[in-house]
Amino acid sequence: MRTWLPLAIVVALISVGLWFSESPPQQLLGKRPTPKEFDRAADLIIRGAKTRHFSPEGTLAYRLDADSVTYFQFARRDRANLDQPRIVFYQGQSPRWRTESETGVAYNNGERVVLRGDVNIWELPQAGGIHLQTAAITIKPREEFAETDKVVKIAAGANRTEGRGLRAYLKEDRVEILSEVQSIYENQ
Amino acid sequence: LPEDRNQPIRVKSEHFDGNRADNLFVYIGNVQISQGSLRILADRVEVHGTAEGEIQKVVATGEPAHFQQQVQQSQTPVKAKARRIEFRVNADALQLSGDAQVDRNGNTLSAEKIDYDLISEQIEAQGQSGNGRVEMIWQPEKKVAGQPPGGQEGQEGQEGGEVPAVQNPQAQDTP
Repeated sequence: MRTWLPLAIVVALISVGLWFSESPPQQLLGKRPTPKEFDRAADLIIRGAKTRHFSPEGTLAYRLDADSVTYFQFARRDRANLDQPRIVFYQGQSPRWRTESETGVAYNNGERVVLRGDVNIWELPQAGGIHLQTAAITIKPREEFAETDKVVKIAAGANRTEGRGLRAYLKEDRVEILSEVQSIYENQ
Repeated sequence: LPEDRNQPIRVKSEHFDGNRADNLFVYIGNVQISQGSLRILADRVEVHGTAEGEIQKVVATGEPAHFQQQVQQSQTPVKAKARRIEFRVNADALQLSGDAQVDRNGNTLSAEKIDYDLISEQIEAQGQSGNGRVEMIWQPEKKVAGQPPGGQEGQEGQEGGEVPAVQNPQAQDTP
């Protein structure tokens, strides 16, 4: 009985070592915040926030107002939890899209913004622009791209289109709806 | 029907790709379009609009694409099919190409290309280039109920005239 005990210990150590090297948990390498870090105290809380975010070229990228912004800074990432965010995205010098939602999360200095809860997006100027409604959407401002897997409703004047799943390529002024598409074109 | 054009156009499909820069909206996958009595079924439909959101033309393609519309209240719907159907909304005109066929009350017209004016019901058909031909099939006139079978007198009593070999209101429509 005693003879194979050391052998078993050696085998166990080797397999633990292999498992560790083969698939190191992300959090050990500081790549993703550990659960403990995730729930720790915020670095910064702003109430009645009015923030301006600029592009690398120095132009105004977007304006973000929110009832509160709770900001967490991690090793190589950051996250801002937004309560009742109201965002205006700019294209060049002019405001192009305005959003409202119940909550939102901005990741890595606004590289990716996820809006949730009664999301409304208006194209500006609002007259003649489209109005999009959905339950949640992910926006990548610098790529001028947005997508969701939720049901979306788009109104463009009297015409309406809805479906499930959307990809919007804002710079090309192009929208894809991925399934269950229904459109109504009113007679002008 | 005349009032079709005042109805909203409804479109259903599996996928949608809208490009507002070009005012072009493409519906892909089991596409169904309806506007009053008008119906279009196709694999792919392009809706060409104006900047104001008004539809100018609809191009449906399929294997084949189908079109149906009731032209007059009392009549059965006109049915058409082809690999490509272009419906010009304001002109109320259809252009069918690729194994095109129009079926009206059972009378059929088959050709490579058919232009059909839905208002005047004027039809223009072309066979394939080269020796392609146009084919028309008229259904025999249905006997009126209570009329003795085959009796000459009986037939003369019908509108008081010699019954011509072919009597079909559609004949006048064809140029």
